Amino acid sequence: MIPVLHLVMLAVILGVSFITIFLMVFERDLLKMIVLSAAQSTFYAIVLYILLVPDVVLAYIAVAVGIYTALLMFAVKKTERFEEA
Amino acid sequence: MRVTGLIAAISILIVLFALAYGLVVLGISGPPAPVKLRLLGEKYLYYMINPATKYFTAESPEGVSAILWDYRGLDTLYETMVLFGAIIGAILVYREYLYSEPRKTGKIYGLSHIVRTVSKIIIWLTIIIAVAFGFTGQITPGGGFIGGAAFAVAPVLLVLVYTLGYARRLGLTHRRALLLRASFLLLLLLVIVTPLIAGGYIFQNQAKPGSAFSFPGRFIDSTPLGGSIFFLNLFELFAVAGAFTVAFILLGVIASLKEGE
Repeated sequence: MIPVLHLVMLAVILGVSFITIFLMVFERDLLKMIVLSAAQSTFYAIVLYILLVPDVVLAYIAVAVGIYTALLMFAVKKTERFEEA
Repeated sequence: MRVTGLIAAISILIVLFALAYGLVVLGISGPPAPVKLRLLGEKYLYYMINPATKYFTAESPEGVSAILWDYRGLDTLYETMVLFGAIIGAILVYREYLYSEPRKTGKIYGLSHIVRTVSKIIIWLTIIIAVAFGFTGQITPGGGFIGGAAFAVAPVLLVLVYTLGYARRLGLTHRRALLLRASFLLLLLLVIVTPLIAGGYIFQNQAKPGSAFSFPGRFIDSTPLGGSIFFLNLFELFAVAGAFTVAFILLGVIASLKEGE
């Protein structure tokens, strides 16, 4: 079984990642939104690490924090930085 | 807006909590993930590095790499081919952008001096970690695709922080990235067909009934080498890195053309 400490850590990290998701949805500055998305991916990577899947963690960090963030930055560069109300 | 946001947050939290409680504690969708290993998992763990069962061993203590490149090798080959096709398709659609003349600017415009200095360190660290993933894919988590994806972060950072013109001046062009990809894919194919040439089966790693051919299972100091897994991981690393680099150079070219320069 998963130890209680790990369950508590999971709850805290998922709670923080929920806060970043919430801020991300209501963010008007798209560049800040990308940074928040990367932060949320980092928290998910920690969750996956606690759940004992190191292979998925490595792929997740490279794709979700590195490549996905850069892809969104290129997309924002081609459009506008601020979302209209 | 602030009140509606708060209400939305609280209601989402309640729904999430109810779902999690129902799934994990009440078990409405059947039992949660099994605590014991499944039979298939036990078999993989038993056989993947076991000299006693010499027809089944993959000589790799890393289960995921053993499954990806030995037991289910053809699946991974098709996965590589899908990425290859996707990159070829992207190049085909945007070929006129790629072969347009690069603009010649004397000065390098990029992000601020602080960002450039920090990136200089991070780019090298990324490359070292990515290559380490590829080299140790048969003993620790990591492997070819993950290493290649991590490796591709370095050229992306270079293009984002120092601009595409500077990357071109350093010699990072789409032609070279494509050459890297194609040559390492060819090497990958060579590893796959080598047993066939030696009289064995395609994608063979260790000795099988009817064919004594096997890739070196151990390094000189008896570190597990995983046979063909080591070579496949290494070649996949550079092939994937080349593929992602081409894709991001393409994106950078299109983005810089948008600025009207």
